[in-house]
Amino acid sequence: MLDRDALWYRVGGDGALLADIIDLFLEEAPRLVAELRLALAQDDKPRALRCAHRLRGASGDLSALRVTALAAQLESLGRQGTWEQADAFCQALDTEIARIQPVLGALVRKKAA
Amino acid sequence: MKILIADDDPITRRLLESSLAQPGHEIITTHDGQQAWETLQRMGEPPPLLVLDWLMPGIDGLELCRRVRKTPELQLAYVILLTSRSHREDIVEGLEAGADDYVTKPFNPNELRARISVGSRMMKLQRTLADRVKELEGALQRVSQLQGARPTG
Repeated sequence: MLDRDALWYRVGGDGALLADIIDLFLEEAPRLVAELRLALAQDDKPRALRCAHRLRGASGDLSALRVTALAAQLESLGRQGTWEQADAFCQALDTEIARIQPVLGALVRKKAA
Repeated sequence: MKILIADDDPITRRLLESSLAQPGHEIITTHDGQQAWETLQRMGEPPPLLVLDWLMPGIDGLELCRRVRKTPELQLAYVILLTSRSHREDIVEGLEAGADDYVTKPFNPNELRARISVGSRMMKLQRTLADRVKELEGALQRVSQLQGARPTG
């Protein structure tokens, strides 16, 4: 679910930078899913699409493969105007973000130790 | 060399800043297209290198590119578009809007740095050329002044 090698490569082996982007992601990802849900509840499709896109970008930067795949799928469905499964996607995104959280946290701790 | 960054994603911004931080680079970070456009207009000496995210709320990277090309003080800037799309038609659209190059997200830091150094080389060449033209113009002017001052007859 996390491509560690790609992530380390992206930060050029810089532990402080890695910790920074992990912090940003752990703050950003749940916020984006919450905003996505809100946008869907308010039937604000452009905003929902932006959230899915941002989530794809942010998780892509972290090489959080499953989150990226889910966000990309949702974005692509949204572009076609297909939002029926959006709730299920939000749920899957929550699960996946919760699952990756300790993995990312451990990466930072390992570096700090 | 000044480099302006425009991206609405804080993680990408952080990665861009750290990838491009090196001696000789002055990085100006903006959070969206609107802020980037305002910053560019406010700057006395606009940055020769721009790294713009394609998809941003408000003014997106494409629109920013078009505005840059229409602005005399900015039109020579070297523009790299950041895109999460990789379809050929999209790339053509980006280049047609005035981008010089593009990098696909999530970007590879070495690739970005290599492309930035291409841009930087182009900008230096352009500056050298502009200086040389100015020099020549000055020389020509002096020649014609001398010719004018030459006693006739």
